[in-house]
Amino acid sequence: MTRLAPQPYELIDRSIAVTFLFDGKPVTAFGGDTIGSALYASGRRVFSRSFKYHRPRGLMCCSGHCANCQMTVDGEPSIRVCVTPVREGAVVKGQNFVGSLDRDLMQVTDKLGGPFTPPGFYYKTFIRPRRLWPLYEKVLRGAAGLGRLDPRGTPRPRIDVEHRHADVLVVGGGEAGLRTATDAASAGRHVILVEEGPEVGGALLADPDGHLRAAELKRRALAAGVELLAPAIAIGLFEYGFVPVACENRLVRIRAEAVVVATGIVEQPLVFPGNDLVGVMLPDGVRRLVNRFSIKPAERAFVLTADDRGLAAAADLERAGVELVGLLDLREGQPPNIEARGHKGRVEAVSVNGKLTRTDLVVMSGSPQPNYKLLAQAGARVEYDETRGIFIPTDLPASVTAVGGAAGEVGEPAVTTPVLGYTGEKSFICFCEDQTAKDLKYAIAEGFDSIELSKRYTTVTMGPCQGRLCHVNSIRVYARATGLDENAIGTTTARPPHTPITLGLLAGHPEEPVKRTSLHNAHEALGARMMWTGAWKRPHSYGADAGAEARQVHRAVGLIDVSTLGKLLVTGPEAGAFLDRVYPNRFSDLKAGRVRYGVLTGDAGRIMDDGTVARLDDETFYVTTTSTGADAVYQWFTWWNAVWQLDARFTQLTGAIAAINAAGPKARELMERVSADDFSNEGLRYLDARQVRVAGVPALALRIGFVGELGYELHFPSPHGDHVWETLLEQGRELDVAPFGLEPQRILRLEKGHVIVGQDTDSESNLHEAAMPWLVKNEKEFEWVGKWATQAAADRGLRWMLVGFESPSGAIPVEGGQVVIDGVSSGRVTSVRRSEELGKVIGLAIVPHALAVDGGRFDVQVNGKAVPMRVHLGPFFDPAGERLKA
Amino acid sequence: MWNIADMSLLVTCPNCGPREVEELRCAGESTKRPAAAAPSQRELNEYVYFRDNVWGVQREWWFCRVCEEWFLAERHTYTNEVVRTWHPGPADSPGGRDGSEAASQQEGAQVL
Amino acid sequence: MTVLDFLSPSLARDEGGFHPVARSAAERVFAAAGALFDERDGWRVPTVVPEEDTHLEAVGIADLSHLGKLEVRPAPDSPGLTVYRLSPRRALVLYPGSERAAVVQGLAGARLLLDVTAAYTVLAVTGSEARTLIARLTHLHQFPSGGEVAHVTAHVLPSGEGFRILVAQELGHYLAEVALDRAQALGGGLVGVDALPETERA
Repeated sequence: MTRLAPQPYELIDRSIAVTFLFDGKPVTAFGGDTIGSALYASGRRVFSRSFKYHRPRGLMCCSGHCANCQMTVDGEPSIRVCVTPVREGAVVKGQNFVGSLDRDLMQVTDKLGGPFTPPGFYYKTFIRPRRLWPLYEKVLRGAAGLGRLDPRGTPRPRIDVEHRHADVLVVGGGEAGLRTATDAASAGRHVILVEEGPEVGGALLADPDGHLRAAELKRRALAAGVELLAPAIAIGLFEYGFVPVACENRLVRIRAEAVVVATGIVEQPLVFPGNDLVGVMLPDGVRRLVNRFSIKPAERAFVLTADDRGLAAAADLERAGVELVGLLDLREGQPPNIEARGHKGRVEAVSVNGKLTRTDLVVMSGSPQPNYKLLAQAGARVEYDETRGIFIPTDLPASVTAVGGAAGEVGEPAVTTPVLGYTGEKSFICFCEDQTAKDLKYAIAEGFDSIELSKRYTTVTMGPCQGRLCHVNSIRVYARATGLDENAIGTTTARPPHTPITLGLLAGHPEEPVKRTSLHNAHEALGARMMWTGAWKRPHSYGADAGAEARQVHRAVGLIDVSTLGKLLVTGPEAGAFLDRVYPNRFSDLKAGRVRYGVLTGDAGRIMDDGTVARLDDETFYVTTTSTGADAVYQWFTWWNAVWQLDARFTQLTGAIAAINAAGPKARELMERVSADDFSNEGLRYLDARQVRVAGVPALALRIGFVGELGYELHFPSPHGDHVWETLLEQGRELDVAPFGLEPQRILRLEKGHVIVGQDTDSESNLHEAAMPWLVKNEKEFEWVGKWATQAAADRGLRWMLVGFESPSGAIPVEGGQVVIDGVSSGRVTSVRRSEELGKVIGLAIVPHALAVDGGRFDVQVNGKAVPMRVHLGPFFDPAGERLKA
Repeated sequence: MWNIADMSLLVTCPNCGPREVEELRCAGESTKRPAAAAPSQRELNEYVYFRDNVWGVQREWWFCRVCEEWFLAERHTYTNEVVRTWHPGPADSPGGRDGSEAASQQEGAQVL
Repeated sequence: MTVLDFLSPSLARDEGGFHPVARSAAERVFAAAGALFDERDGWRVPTVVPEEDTHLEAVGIADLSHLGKLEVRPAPDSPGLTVYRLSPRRALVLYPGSERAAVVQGLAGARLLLDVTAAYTVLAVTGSEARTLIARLTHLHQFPSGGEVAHVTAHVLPSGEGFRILVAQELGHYLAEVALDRAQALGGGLVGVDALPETERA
């Protein structure tokens, strides 16, 4: 029975019984136990199998630093059970073995593998025959690894992301952190303290009565107003005091004016043959078992120590009734040859200069290393203190300070020589990755003699402990082997996270913003197939036959929701002058109540966006843009005016205004049923813009014609979207009104040869080659944006032209299909559809300028064959525009 | 739309104060629009395509999505330190309004 | 009548047998929760939501999109009005729809006065966990201020003991869904406008 009689300061609550399953069998624990302590108390000594050699490993640090106690808990792999509180019904399993934890068949790699698995063996072996690579990969992957994820997935807990701000963030809830936090809070600062363990106290928690002092410090901190988060792991330290913290199922993103790093120290293993045997532990490991969980760890113990921590462990062991069969303080005299001997992976004896002493527990303690990782990641330098054999952070970034152990306050330990015994194999440097001192020396001999190179070759420090227990020792081995001093060797770059966190936590609670028009639900109710246009959802079509949907517009009247159009108000005395500067054509001469088409170009002459500009009065212009261009055009306008500082103001109204386009021969009749205003051809002429009232709602009616039929585009307040839409559909029933979506709209506009910016134009298109020379008004005074490049294109001679075409054979090329002339790629199809109304396949294509004549011929690749097309200049449907102006 | 910040840069908008970087849009290096009425092809190409791209403090344009206004910033392109931010005023474009004669001191930028 | 009447939902009127009622972008989210609606100031307003009393004990989300909103340039100095300054040149003023005439009169000196009532969805956040809900939506921590809220740009204004979130109306449905999700994780949910404390209602 390893559980001691109740001690006055123990942390377990023996009145609470908690039962969990290990390997399918129930284990009973006390309240306050960790899964690790409960398993140890139940007699378990082997907790995991090492990464490469599958050597048995037992509890070593009990502080969540090493990887020895990693198990799968409730489906989540690689949980450090030494710091995980027990919970009722938890399902705990070992990982990384074939067979059982106690009898792992993979241990053959330990017995036989040695010569075959030096560092970087996978670069040298398992190369030929190459066709077996998939098999090698599968075998190796299965042989070396940590936990397994259930492919069906463990139920993912809900993750919330929370944002916090503080004057001071203290990372680390040990004595130094608690005192600093309390002082800052008492001075009136808003302080948050994050502690990675379930409770504050740090090193105090290993002392027999330390948790009383910890409780008192905690009480004072809370009384001063410190906000405590525990367990909460700081993931990294970024610019401007940004520290993301993993707080169970919350990702807490903290921004602090000042950050104090109080992450304490990490006890360091000694390096000697057999230092990884089950039963070789660090002082804190032993002290926590004894003092917190009242566990007698062994019958006999041998203590090897380079500082006072080992002595404290020795004292605690004796109190627990353990026989101290040996105590070696390495600060006295010459370091001897040490070796730990074991049987079936468990320690049995210690050899000191050849003299053997039987023992079942070895406590090893090297110089405690300041836990500087966060500071290094934030940009601090790290310097080697030769007298104490530790690395200390210096040159901290602004607003970052270190206190306590992390700052180097560790007393006066001995500088231990790196390896206490060169004779044997299996002097482990890196427990996580199974790298021994000999492996490191091989790597150096092979030429990987810089620490960064060697790290990548040997993978030392790349395991779950992220260098906490191995980095310093590896540097000391380097120093010995290369003759360089530790400062010259340096440390490897510290990167976040240095405590493993789940990807799920970083993903947070993902959601995708969706922009909906106020008619969205109406579309869904009508059975529309919705599609993405940028961040908007728009109806693609309302039925299976987009062609028929388009024809209905020609026959009767169709309604399309164009609320996604960008809408800007440009107002002020110089609004017209401003528009003249950014558009190639003129707007200052546009009369109030009229609307004009406009295309925007940049100074490279490239077409950026298009839309309409309606003049509402002297100083008020209403500009529309493409659906995905609203923000870009707003920023474009406001940027230019930040430069020019004209007396004009700009406002985005994209979401405020809903817009419906009613188009078709019966559009006028429809409007007359919903409005008392004059929609006659004289009352509201083509290209007029006038305020009307539709179904009781004030609206701006623009008589324009993207789809080539008599049409009215109604702009009105978006909250009335449903009302206007439903009213139009209802009042138009006798007229055979029907909604139409984006796909039929594409067919209709193509019948008129209308360009869609971004579809028929690209980043090389200019106004001349996009067949819009009539927009270029060079006689304007100001050098409008794009004028020079547009003129340069004309001066150099046009090379391309965007033209309409028909497919006489009826074959439908793909959009993007190459125009081929004499075997050379010479342009492409930008848009193509079959028009039911016209009974043919039509499209737009970019072709060489010489071909831009009515009837011109060119070939397009269709399914590998060259298919002839015929140029058709001008609109395919109603070329005179009679229907538009009816 | 914006993803969770992958940079933790804070830039101070003159209206809104320090903002997380994804609440702003950096429109790049401030350049000089040619002053002449008909710049040569070379001058036009340099204006449209070339940038100084300094290793050091760069003058650049930023747009704040919150107040929807543009401001200028001086930022060190290596350390990311933002030295200052300010709204453009007459001092930044002395030619200002007519953009012709004094345009040589005027600043323009290709907004990407 | 002005050339910009077509911006104002409140200028809609009964005519020709038509009875226009303005609807909020978040309406469907509230309807899905079983909200009861009332017609107020020409809007369909969710006034009562089932189990709102339970929600209020943690955090409640209400839809205040029917409030009037004006964009004013330059930013006015008007005590007694809820003014949110975006910059010295620009501000938003929120008011109960029925008070429109008086508010507009009080801002007569403005260079530019635009009715942007239709532009924004307004969600009220109330209850003891209101601050936590805000922290789970956005990093903003001083109010009023604007910035990234649930991956979009929005503004958070203090309102009594609670808050109001202003977002472009095309994202109103999306944000209402996200806010509801966060509220439910905190034990709260949707509430009707009549359940809001007096100080947060208008």
